[in-house]
Order: sequence, then C-alpha cells, then structure tokens
Amino acid sequence: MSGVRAKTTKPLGAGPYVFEKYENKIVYMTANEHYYKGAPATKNLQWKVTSNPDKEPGVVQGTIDIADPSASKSALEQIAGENSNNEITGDKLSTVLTDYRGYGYIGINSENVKVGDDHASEQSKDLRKAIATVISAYRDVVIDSYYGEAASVINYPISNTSWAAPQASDPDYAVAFSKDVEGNDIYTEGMSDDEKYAAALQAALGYFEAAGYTVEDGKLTAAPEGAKLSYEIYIGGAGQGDHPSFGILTAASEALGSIGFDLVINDLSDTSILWSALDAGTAELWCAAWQTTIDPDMFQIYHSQGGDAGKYSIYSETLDAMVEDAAATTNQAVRKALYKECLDFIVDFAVEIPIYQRQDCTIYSTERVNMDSVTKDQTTFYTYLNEIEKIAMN
Amino acid sequence: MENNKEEMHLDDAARVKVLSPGMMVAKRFFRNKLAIVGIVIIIAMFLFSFIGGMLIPYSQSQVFYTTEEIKKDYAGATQIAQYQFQTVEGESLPADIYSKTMIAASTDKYVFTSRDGNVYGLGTEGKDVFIVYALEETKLLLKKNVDYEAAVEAGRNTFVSNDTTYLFDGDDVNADVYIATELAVGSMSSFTSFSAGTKFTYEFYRNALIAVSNGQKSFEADDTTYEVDGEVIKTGGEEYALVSDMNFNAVEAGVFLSPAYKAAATEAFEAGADSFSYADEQGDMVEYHIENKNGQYLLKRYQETRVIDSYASPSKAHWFGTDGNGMDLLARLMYGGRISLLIGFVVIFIEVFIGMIIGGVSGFFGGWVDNLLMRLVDVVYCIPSMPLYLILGSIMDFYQAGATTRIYMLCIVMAVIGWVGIARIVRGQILSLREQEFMVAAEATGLSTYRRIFKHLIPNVIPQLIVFASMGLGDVILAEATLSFLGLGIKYPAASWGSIINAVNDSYVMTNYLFVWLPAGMFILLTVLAFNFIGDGLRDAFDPKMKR
Amino acid sequence: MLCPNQIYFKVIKGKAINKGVTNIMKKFILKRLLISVVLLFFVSLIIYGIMRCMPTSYVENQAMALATRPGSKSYQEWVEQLNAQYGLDTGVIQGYFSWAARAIRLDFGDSWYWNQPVLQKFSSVIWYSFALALASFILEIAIAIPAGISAARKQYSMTDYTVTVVALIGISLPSFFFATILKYIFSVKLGWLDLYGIVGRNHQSLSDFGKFIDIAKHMILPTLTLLVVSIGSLMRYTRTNMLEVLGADYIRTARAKGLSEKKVVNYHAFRNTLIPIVTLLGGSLPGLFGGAMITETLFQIPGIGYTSYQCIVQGDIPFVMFYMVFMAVLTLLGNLLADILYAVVDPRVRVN
Repeated sequence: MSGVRAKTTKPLGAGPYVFEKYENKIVYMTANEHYYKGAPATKNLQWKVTSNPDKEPGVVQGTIDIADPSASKSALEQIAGENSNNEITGDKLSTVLTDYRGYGYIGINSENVKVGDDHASEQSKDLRKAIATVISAYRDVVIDSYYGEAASVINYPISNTSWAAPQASDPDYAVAFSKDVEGNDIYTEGMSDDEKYAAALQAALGYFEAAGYTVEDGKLTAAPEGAKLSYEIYIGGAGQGDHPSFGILTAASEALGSIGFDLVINDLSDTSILWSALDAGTAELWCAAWQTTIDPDMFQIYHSQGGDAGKYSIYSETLDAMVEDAAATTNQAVRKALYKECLDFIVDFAVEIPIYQRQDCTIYSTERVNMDSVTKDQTTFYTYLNEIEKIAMN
Repeated sequence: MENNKEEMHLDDAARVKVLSPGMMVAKRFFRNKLAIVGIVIIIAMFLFSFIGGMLIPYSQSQVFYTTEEIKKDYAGATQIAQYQFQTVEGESLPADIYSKTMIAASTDKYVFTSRDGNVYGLGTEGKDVFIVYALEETKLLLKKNVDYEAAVEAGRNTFVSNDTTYLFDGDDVNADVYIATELAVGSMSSFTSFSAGTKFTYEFYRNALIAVSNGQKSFEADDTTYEVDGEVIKTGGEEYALVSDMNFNAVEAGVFLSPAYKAAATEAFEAGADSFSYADEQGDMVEYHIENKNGQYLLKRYQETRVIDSYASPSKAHWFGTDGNGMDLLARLMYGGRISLLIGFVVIFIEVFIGMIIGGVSGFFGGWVDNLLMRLVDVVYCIPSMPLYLILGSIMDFYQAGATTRIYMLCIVMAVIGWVGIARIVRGQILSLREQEFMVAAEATGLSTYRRIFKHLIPNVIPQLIVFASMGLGDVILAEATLSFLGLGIKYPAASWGSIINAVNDSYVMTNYLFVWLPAGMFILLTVLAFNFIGDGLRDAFDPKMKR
Repeated sequence: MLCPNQIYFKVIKGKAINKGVTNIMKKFILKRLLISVVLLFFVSLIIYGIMRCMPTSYVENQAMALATRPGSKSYQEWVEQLNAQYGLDTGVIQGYFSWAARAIRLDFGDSWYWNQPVLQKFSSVIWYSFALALASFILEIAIAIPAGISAARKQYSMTDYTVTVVALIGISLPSFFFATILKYIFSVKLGWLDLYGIVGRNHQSLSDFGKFIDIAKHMILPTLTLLVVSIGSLMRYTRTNMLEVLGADYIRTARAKGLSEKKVVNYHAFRNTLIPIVTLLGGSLPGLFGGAMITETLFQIPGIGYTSYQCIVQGDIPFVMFYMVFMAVLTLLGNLLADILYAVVDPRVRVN
C-alpha cells in the first residue's frame, strides 16, 4: 500500500512549477526545467497565506511581491496613496483590474415566496416583484459607495464577462425591476434619489395590491392566502455587516417597513447555515454570488433538472425549452438572442435580483517585479497566472 | 480612628466620636483623589451613554449620505448585429422573434413557427430588411398568377393580389402560400430623430427602410414626402432623421441622444480616442470617456452621485465623524457605551454572585463539601469557551433572537464561564480568615452561622473581591471586543465599543481615519482606568492598617 | 502571628514534624491525582457532548461540498454515508465511549480536517505556540515583577504612576489593537521586520543557524504583542500584594528591629509577596500550550491557537477532543502544581 500511497500523495503534472512542500503556511514551488514552453524565468515560487488587510502593506513592505486584495473603493485609494503619482499604477505598486468572473445577486425561492399554491402565477410574481422593486432602487447608492468605479450595477442575472450578457448599447436593455405593474417606467430623467425611492415604494404598493394584499392608507394590512406580511433574508456577513448587500437590504427593509411589510435581515455568523437552508429549500430570500464559466449555459441553475434547480424552484417548461434550444446550436448570435429571452423570462419570474459585478484587482511591486515580463492585456479568464513562466524579478 | 482634623484636648467629648464602619470606609475613600477621579469618570461615562443616547437626534444605525463625482455609465454604443424591429401600432411580436429571424436569415427559411404556436414569415424587402407577417395557410393557384411571377422575378417572396398580401415559401408553383398580415419591420439600422420628442410612425420606418436599402432617393409616408440624402432623411429641406448602423442606448430612461452627439461619438470611436467632449444643454463641455470592449463601446462621464458618507471627518453635523458604513460615530459611541457598560456590570455581578456563594460555602464548611465544589470548579474551568460561543451564536440565529435577548444570553454565558476565578479567590480568603482569632471569638460568643458568614467573614473578603471585580470589568469589555472580532459578539448594526474598535484591524483605516477608533479606544481605556482607581480606592479604604 | 520565616525555621528544626509533613503531602498529591482522573472523565464527556451539539458538523459541510458536484448523490445520502464512516451515527454516550476506548490507549485517531494523525498535526503546530508563549512568559516575569515591586515601594511616586498607567493601558486594549499598531510601526513604516509569517522569503537557502535566527526574528512582533497584553495584570497584582505585605505587622517589627530597608524589602517582604504570585504562575502552565488565536491569525503563525479554532469551527471532533483533553490535563496538573507550590512556599498552609 505504501507504494501506491507514495504515488498518490505526490502531485503529478506538466505545469511550469512543481509543488515541493507546504510548510509554515507557505507553499513552495520550484521551476520545472522541462516545461514545454521553456524553463520558467523565476526559479522559486512561494505562495503565502495572507489576510486581506495585509495584502497591500505586504507588497509595499516586501513580504510579498504580487497580491490580490479585494477591489473596494478604499483599497484602490490606499494603493493610489502609496504611489508618488497618486494613481493606481506608479513607482511603488502597479495594478491590473479585470472583471470578476461572476456577479452578486439576491435570490428568492419562488416556492417559499408566493401567493396561494402556484409559484408561477401572476400574483406570486407580483409579490416577488414588489420586494424586488424596492431592493433594486437602493443598489446604485450602496455599490457606488463601497466600490466606486471598481464595480458596476448589473441588470441581468449574468456576468458582464460573458459574451451573452446584454450590453447597455442594446436597444431593449432595461434596468431591472424598473417598471410598475402596468408596465410603465417608474423612474424618469432628472429624478432625485429620494424621489426615486418614493417612486419605487409606490410601484411596490401597486404590485402588492395586484398580488392580493389589502392596502389601506398606503399601508399593507392583510396578506392573501399563502403569503405573509413578513419574510426573512439571509446574509453571510459573518455578523459584521461587511457584505455590500447589507447596506442595500437595510435601506430596503426600512422602506418596506414604512408600508407595513417586514423584511427581516438575518446576518448569519455561520454561513454554512445559509448553504444548508438553500440546499434544503427552506430559505426565503438570500444574498450570494455566482461564479461563471466562459460558456453561459444555464442548465445548472435554471433548468428543472439542474443541480441547483431547487434554489430558485422555477420549474418552468417554457424556460426549460429555451435553455435546451440555446444549447442545441453553435451559432453565437442565435444563442445570444436565445439567452436574452431566457434572461427576460427569469427577471420577469422575479427570482433573482442582479446586484453588481465587481472587479478583481492584482497588485505588483513595481520595484521588485519586472513589469515588462507580466502578461499584458489581462482579462477575466487570462491572467498573469496563464503566463507565469515569463514573470521575472528586477 | 485618628481624627487629625483639629487640635483636641484629651478630655474633649467630641474626640470620642465613633463613626460606623461604613462611614469610615466612605470617609477614607473620598480622601483618595484617584478614587474620586475614578468615580467622576464612571459617572461621566454613564451620563454620556444613557442620557446622551437619549438626547442625540441620530440612531446608532442611521446611514448618512453625501454626494460625490463618480464616473458612471452614460450610454452604450455598438455596431448593430441583431435585427431591430418596429411593430405596427397595436401589434406585438413573440419573444423569440430575434432568434428565429436570425436563423431564418442565415438559412433562407423564411417561414417559421414561434414558441407560442403561431406561424410567422419574413418578407424580403432589401438587404437585411424584412417585414414580419403573421401567416395563415391558404390555397391559391400560383400558376399563371401575374403578381406571383413578378415577385419571383424581383427576387421577392411576397406579392399583393386583390388587396391581399400573400407570402409563398418554395421554389416553384407548388410552393406553400399564406395570407400575410403585416406585423413589423426588421432591419439592422437604427433611426435617430433630429429633435427630441419626435416619434416615428410605423409607416415612416417601413418606407424609409425600404427606400434606404433599395437606394431610392425619396419615399412617402403619412402623406409627407421625404428625401434620402446619404444617411440623413430630410423633409422640406430640414433634417428629420439619421439612419445609421450603430445603435446608441442611454442607460437612464428618457435621455435623448441627438444625432450630433452620436456623430461626435462615432468620430471618436473611429479615431480610437479615449474620450471626447460634447456640450450639454447648458452649453458646458462635458467629457465622455470611452471604454471599448470588443466593439461594444461604453460611454461614461462624471456625475454627481449620492453615496454613503463613509469615513467623514468630524464636522458640525457629525461631531466624531462617521464610520465605514456611514453611521454617526457619536451616536454609536453612546449606544455602544450602554451595551459595553451593561455587559460589564451584568457579567461581573452574576460572576460575583455565583462565585461568592460557591466559594463561601466551600471555604466555610471545608471537608467534603469543599472538595466537591472545588472539583466542580476544576471541571468548569476546563470546559472550552469557544465552542460554547459558537453554539450560542447559531442557536440565537435559529430562534431569530432580538438584540436585547442576544446581549443577555451572551452575558449569562460569559458569566457562567468566568465565575471560577472569583470562587477560588473567595475560598482562599475564607480559608485563611476562618482560622483567625476574630472568627474563633465570634464562634465562642455563640453567633449563628449565618451571622458569622455574612457579617464577619464576607466583609473581609470584599476588598480582594473588589480588586478582582474591577479588573474583571475591563477583561469583560475586551472579551466582548474579541468576540466581535470573530463575529460572535454584538451583531451589526448594534454598536458596542468593542465592535467599533474592530475597525482598527485595517491599517489603512487605522492610520488615515484616527477618529474612527481613537475615541472608542480612549473610552475603553478611561473606563477600565476608572474602575481600577475605584477598586484601589475601595481596597485602601477597607484596609484598616493603611498608613495614610 | 509568626512571620512565615520563623515558622519555616521551626519546621526545619523539627525533623520529625518535617517527615510527617512530607507524608501528608504525598498522600495529598496521590489523592488529587486520583480525583483528577475522575474529573478528566467528566470533562471529556462534557466536551464531547458539546462538540456533538455543534450547529453544523464536519459531516454536513463535507456532504454539502460533495453533493453539489455534478452527478453526485443527494445531500441526504451523503450525510448518512459519511455519518457511518466517521462514527457519528451513534448516540452521544456511545460515541463518547468508543472514542474513550481508543484514547485510553493513546490512539487519538486521524484529524478529519487536516487528514493527518492528530498527534502528528498537533506536534507540528504546538512548538511555535509554545515558543511564543514561553518567550513572552519569561519576559513578562522579568519585567513585571521588579516593576510591580518598585512601584509598591515608592507608592504614589512617579514610578508608581507610570507603572500603573502602563499596566492599565496594557490590559484595557484588545490584542489585535497592539498587533496592528506594532505591524504598522515596525514593518510598514520602519521596515525592520516582515509584516507577517513565521519565515522569510529566503528561509530555504539559509543555514540551520540562519533558519533559527530567521524564525526568531519573525517571532519578535508576536511576542511583543502577547507581552504587552499580559504584563499589565501581573504588574498590578505584584504591586497590590507587595503593598499588602509592606503594611503587615511583621514588616513593622522587622523595621523596628533595626534591619536595613534593603533586607526588609528584598528578604522579608519579597518572599511573602512571591507566595500568591508563585501559585498564580504555577497555575498558568496550561496557558503556555494554549496558543493565542488572534495573534497567530494576525501574524499568520501556524500555531495551535489558530489550528484549534479552525477545527472547532469545522467540527473536527478527533482533533478538538485530543486538544481539549490535553488542555484539561494541563489545567488539572497546573492546579495541582499551584496547590503544591502554595504548600511548599507558605508553611502556614502545611501546618494546618
């Protein structure tokens, strides 16, 4: 057995670097001389376990040479502050920003948030749209505050990095949940932020009424059969409110509270409770993020037989047919159009509120790393790791 | 009992004034300047937290906003790669028209069934211009039909016969024939009007598209004649509409992008520029930044946006500034003070209560009672606290406990883990005091057990206890800070001094925004200091052999 | 009341009494050891019960991860299979006894989270924590006790106030606070030391002695952090005790007898101050192996504090059981040691 164990516990590969050992929270790697693209430029590689606040000071101070701090507004300010030219790429630190291969969202399980027995009925959709409209109104201000230019609000449940993502230049690109129950735009040009929030709340009341709630004096007094006046949303913020969606939900919860609808925010200190609830299908609303692949195939999440179908519980034959159609052709333009239809369906079904698309940030020490040897034109799916054999030190 | 206040004669009656022990302690206590400082600080803290909390207009979780210039998306532009449709007023197209049209255009199969079961057909009108028809199967003899033959010669698949439009699908006279009802026109062009507010009618679109794609110089629509001049459509010599293969879409609904703007943008795209300037309604030049992602252009400009007022410096509106989430720090300090002080006192109180009883009983009775209780103390001492906190956290999450319940449960758990130290000290003191002469005397004079314990023994334990308790208060507040660090303590957005000082973990915040954590740190320091001064003062006051 | 020194001499002179005392001590120690074994049983049972009652267990986390893979079994099936595999499908009492049966033979099993034998993982992480704790312990004693004593001797003077204030600052601010400040000053601003980690980037290419120095350099900041936090209470405690002793009757007697101030303080007062301090230090033996979770996390030191926290959060029962039982043994031993030292150092207790 030891003969087999010796082979199965030693990594095998043909990459540019060979794993040596993991010791003292550092992974040691040495260059593979026989790499097919040629021997790597730097002989030894060390990967150090680092906490997020230490990443930027670590590169400045010299403990590490390359790091990937989370790209919040204050992090970018911090990086710019280190360079003498006050930009994010300068004499001390060089920065590369690429879109993150995924997006943040708020999910609603349509089996738990519905009116009556049918989770696909117009009333159920109206209930979910009511909640979604108020939440969506607050996305801009919170994402702008936390991320500034390092993240953007998205309006379709698909990452901007995907080729199938609807772009702002498309004529039918619509801001998510910006129409009221009659189909009119809620927001008009030149509205101040407070007017926008008030308009969203009004539209939500319209949806609630259409869903069967009793509205008196602008407040909800009774819920129809199968629905409640209070729903719970889970956030995995580790009890510290660090999640950007937290700010959105706090504001939305207050707004909904003023019309008599209770959105209870449960900031879980243990995120595994969230995953258990999602898997068991008991969660009502929750905040999370999806990581995507290059191909936008929607089978896993939106098709009735997908592995994560229980999360949103859409179970719609129409959507199933659309997803299958899109996977049946290789014509990219056709697929893009088909996926657009799927996205419209999903947004209309109101089970996913797309929130934001953030960026990945990689910083290099300009003094120690030879920046000419670092991959130029990095994208979401092609980073410095793809050409790591070329990186050389000064 | 030395009353050194004034000169006294030996036989002065006042000299023999006897104060009760309590008064003696108080007198000695108040003589100690540090102790007075301590009391003043504690009273100030309480006033600050409780009274101040009622006076301040903000709540601890109220978020404040400010405006900032942020580069926001303004519009997107791209080469049109998808068919754009204009529908006849009152008609609607199926959702999958886009994909079906693209399939049809690439496979030359112009009749298709949409997902909702209806049959649609595309009539070719020119390059990349189609008219969408709703189709109804019918039987018509194509042979020798003049209109049909004319259509075939023109390369079209539709013809009008007897005021009815027919569409045929097939290569010869046996082709399928349908009665066609016009629904929409599709093309790869976009129309921009030269003045905001102009709405184009369907007839205009249709005829304009057919004219432009067939190279005609003029066309008629809605009883008006239009001239086609390159990309511009004019009526009566005035510019009316711009036809282009680029699509511009403003992000905010209702924003009008004029053709001049689009022309300026297109110029910049072709030049590969990073930005271009264009005047807005007031005539000020605004710079638009261009981001090019594989032919999809994104135009951004700086706009005043409302953002959360995080890390605002101290100002008149916010005396201590705001924290990272835009909440007023002064309010959070006040409410946090309530929580921290409350936790400190409650925990210490419970600990002392339990510890004194157990330690007292154990020390006084000795023998097997002492042994048993001390073993119990050992067991409790060995139980690890971390899993208990984790379990407590998830139980309260499960029951969705309110913030106050959480705090009290936390206090109880902390106290139950912490009473061991006090029990040991009390027991140790009692063990040594029990053998002293005054206790033997008390027993000899026949005092009851109750009086012996509570009137003679316990008061002598109190000095050590007070010192321990006063140090313990600081420990409790710190323990709460550590738990907040791990996410197990006071839940956001409720504030406590411990959770506020957690902000110091980020060295950027620590160095650039001193006002965030420095006040909280000072408050904790002052409170612990004050408790220690009081503890020292009390101990000195209780000790009858103090030199001073 | 006789001063302890006088009793001490009396006892030594009476050899018969001395022998009797030693016998009593032996019986006392033996009895305590036996009781400790019983206590250990109860403590380990309670700890096992608590671990089983944790909200989400290791098995559930693993089943979750496995069930989301494409084409795998459902979550429920995985939970049942893993429960059987890890022996969690039995009741709490049964599970405890099957663990205890193996633990008695010092077989603590494999850690679920780290995929190594528990003892192996433990020994690879404990020495860093122990070194840190020992270093700060020694420094703490060397600094705090003299400072406390001199503060007590010159009560209400400048020294006293300085010592008090420094001590209070030390105990009134959390450890992560000092860690961050130290990191900022010494690493970012001054650049003398690495920001975190236990080894530098050139560690592999250094000689053995060089490696030792490298690790020592990286331990400076964590040791300082631990020192600052714990020095305060020892200083205050020493000062308090010294004050109490200096006010005692026998000190007044010694002074009245005409002894020099140096002899009074260094000989008589010092030894009596040490009594409670020695017991306190003896009882802090388990603390040396406890690790400091926050300091280790902030400095990325692979110590026992960080490791055990991870294991608790993940619900890795074998490792946690071993570690907790180990700590319980140390605590009980520490208590025993403290009580013995109390008897050794203070003969008044012995005579009782």
